[in-house]
Amino acid sequence: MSDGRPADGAKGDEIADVCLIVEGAYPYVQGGVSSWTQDLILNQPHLRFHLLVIVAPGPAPTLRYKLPANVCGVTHVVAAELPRGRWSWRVSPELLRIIHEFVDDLLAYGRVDDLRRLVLILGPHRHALGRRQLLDSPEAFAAFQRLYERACAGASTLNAFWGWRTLVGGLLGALLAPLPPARVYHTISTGYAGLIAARAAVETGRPALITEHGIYTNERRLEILAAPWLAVDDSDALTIEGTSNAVKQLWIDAFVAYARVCYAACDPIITLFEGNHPLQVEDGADPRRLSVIPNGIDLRRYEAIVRVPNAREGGSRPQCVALIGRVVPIKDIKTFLRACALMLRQVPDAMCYVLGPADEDPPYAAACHALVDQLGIGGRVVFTGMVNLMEWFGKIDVVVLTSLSEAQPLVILEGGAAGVPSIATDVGACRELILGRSDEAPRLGTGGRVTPLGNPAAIAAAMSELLLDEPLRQRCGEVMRRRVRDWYDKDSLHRRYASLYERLRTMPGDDDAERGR
Amino acid sequence: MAGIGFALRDLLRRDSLWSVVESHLHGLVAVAGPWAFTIVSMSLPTLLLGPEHGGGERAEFVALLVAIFSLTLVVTNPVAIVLTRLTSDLLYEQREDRILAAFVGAWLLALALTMAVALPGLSLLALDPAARAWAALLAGLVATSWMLAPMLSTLRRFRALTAAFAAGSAAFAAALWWGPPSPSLAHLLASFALATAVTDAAIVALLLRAFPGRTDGIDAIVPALRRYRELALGAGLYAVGIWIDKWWMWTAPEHVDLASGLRAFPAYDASLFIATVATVPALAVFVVRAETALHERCSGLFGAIGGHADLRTIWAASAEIGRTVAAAARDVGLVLAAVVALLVVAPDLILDLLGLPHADAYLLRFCALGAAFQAGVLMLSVVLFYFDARSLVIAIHATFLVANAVGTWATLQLGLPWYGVGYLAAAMLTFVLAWVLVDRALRKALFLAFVGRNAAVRDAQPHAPPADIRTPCTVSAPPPQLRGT
Repeated sequence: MSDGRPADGAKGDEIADVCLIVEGAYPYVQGGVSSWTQDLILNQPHLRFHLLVIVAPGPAPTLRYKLPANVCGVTHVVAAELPRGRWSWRVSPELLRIIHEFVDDLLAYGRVDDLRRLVLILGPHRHALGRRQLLDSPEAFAAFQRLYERACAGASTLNAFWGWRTLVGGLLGALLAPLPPARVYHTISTGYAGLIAARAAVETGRPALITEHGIYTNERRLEILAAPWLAVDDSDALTIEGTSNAVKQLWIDAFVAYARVCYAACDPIITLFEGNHPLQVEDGADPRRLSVIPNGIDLRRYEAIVRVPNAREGGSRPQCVALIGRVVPIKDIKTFLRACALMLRQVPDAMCYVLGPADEDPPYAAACHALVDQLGIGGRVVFTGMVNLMEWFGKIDVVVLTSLSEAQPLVILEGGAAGVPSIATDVGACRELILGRSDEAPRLGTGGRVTPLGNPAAIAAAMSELLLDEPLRQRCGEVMRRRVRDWYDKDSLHRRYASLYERLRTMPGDDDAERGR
Repeated sequence: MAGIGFALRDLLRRDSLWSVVESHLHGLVAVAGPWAFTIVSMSLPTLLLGPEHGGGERAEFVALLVAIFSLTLVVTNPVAIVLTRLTSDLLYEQREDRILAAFVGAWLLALALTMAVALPGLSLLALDPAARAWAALLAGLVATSWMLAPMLSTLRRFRALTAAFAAGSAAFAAALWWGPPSPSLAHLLASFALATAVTDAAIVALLLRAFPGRTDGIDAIVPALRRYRELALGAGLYAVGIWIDKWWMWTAPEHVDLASGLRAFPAYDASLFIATVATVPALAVFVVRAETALHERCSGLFGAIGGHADLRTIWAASAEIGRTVAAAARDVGLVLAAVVALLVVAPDLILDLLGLPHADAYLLRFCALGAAFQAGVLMLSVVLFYFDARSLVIAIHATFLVANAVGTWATLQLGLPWYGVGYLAAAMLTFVLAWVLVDRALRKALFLAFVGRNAAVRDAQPHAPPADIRTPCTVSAPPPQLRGT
């Protein structure tokens, strides 16, 4: 301990060691990122955490996790929302013009200098400024018109207007939001959470870091491109000389700009797997700041699983493949089922399982059952619903993942720790989990197969290959077991975060204010 | 609600000289039917019976009529304007079957309010029981007329509407013609009540035919009054504003005390009535030409916005509104100027026609100019309503009320030669204010459409974040590898 603070029983009103900034996740939404956050806090019991949670507008959310004892407080910020602003507060038109010029520049270029200037300008008026002055004034509307001419000329004014209000409201809301004092600011995404982390670094001079699970801008990009409410200008995009949808581009550019500011202010820029690096660099991240700290698992728990031999190994149970995941479209269960039908032609005695809840998207689940009947594989495919995986890994020969999108799927690691090889589509971290990271030395070899997306034939071929070649399957299982032990042990990964926090926590703040200039 | 305006514009566009005259004539009825009907009715006793019969009873009749008109307008105008808005909303939502119920509810409310004021007021006057009873009935019928007035613009059957007012006037004329040569006050009131009842009944019949529907939901006016309280306030201020100078003038040294206890200032009242009637042709032009064009341009602007047009198209639509208002100001201004010029240059001609003394010519000049500016204020307020600028309209009517009250009081102190100047000054001042506000609204039309008057922006409530959580914080010792760093 370098600051001499008491180790036990510290008061809740003391400055936090780490302010964790989360958007739309922990502690109100269950899921992978939230579990990771809970785990992170629980495994740094010597640090005080303060949560800054960006919540959606609406009724007060319900806590989905029990806050660990080392969480000293939770500050809430409503996403993309500005306070009303003091009624009596009249801001000079010139000041408003300047504010909106910097906002416009920040949205266009994502420069941390513009953020710094905005923070300086807004700082003294933080308690008086709000929507009334910054969005509902004639000067603000003039700023919208300037932005429209610059970025959206010819597009739907209505869509551009609401887009501008939401984006600028979100940006200024992030800059006016209450900021809990902390020694380190840690965001788990770019977007508004990243913007607040960047603001914290600029405003307080304290270090900021980011751990990205999925690439936020990429997810927003996909959402925006598919958004039906922004589709009114899409028709041009279908013509040979047509331009893309300018309003959608405005949204995408804004999120890229937020990411740029965040990357410029954060060091290190951590992600779960190497595959994210090119996307981060494309959005402005400095390659020298990039690093990978993957998700880990509790090795001892899975290594203790006893394997039940299959028929080929002399046991009584049939060979089996299992897809572990929810029955939802993003997991592309239908491709798995089609692959099973093809594989069963080669391995007719095999059993195929879908281990996961089917109640999230009932129509999709019903369509999957109908497909099973249509393919005539009803006797070989079983939807189990929620199960205790610890009871299943010993009876699974191959884990299959047909997802259209993943970050770093833990089931591959969990299966791997139990010696089960995996077949997965080439999404997220699947490739480096199965084939090894670029810096893996010595190379351990392959822990299964990586296939293209939505390709039942390739998946079926990989399943047949592993099921029919038992020595190959065993070799792959061993590779996975060793890889998980060497690279994905939860304890060692938590120690990395502990060291990182310690280094940043004890950094002198003033020097950090210069970062990103 | 420019419904009848569009029907009249169609008539105007038939491209014949008669269609031009006819459309504006019907427009006149639509704009000022109750006013015109009353003024015609007030002149009928003199015209039909001759000035030598029953002068005292006629003076009482006119004074009572003016008192009933002013009182009922002040009491019912807030309800009437909210009924206008409610009807407009129902038409927009294509729920025409609820209009009848909305009207009935508003009418009952207006009737209750009128009687709550009229019955105690009439009990203070020295009237025989028959006259008092007829006066009370007349107050109810006039209140009904005020409530029917906003419905007139929704009825596209302009000829039937004109016929309804004509039938009322004819009924009054018949009652006078076949009545005694020197009718009593009760007879005059009964005759006028009959005439008003005929007109009201005819319009109600038109209304029932246009909007047959359910009668449940007659309480719709109550939440509407809450929702549109700004409109109601503006309408109340307007009604008081246009009468306050007359009430003040009844305290002038030159006032006349009537046997019933009522007061009158016939010279001022008559001048102002004549001046107000003189502005009606301009208002008819506004309804037939300007308001329809404005309605189309505003629909064009909001249609362009809602239709996802680009900013240049929206700017062009916005500029069209400005051009339309300028053109309307020119058209209406010309008609107003012509009529007012006649009153200002040759007041004696008009006074001769109506059998009024020439000494009142100066009053007629001031009142004519004031009424012209007041008509301008009314039309500019309508333009502001298209931008949903209710608070600005309230400001305009409040300004007129205060200015008219103060100005009239001041001119009362200055004496007879200044009478009417206070009203004129108030109307001019309010006109300038309204002009400036409309000019600003037109310059800021896009800002108002997108932000200032956009309910989605204006009424959006910021979501309060959940309460922050503070917890007693417990931390353990750091792991061994971090100690001593």
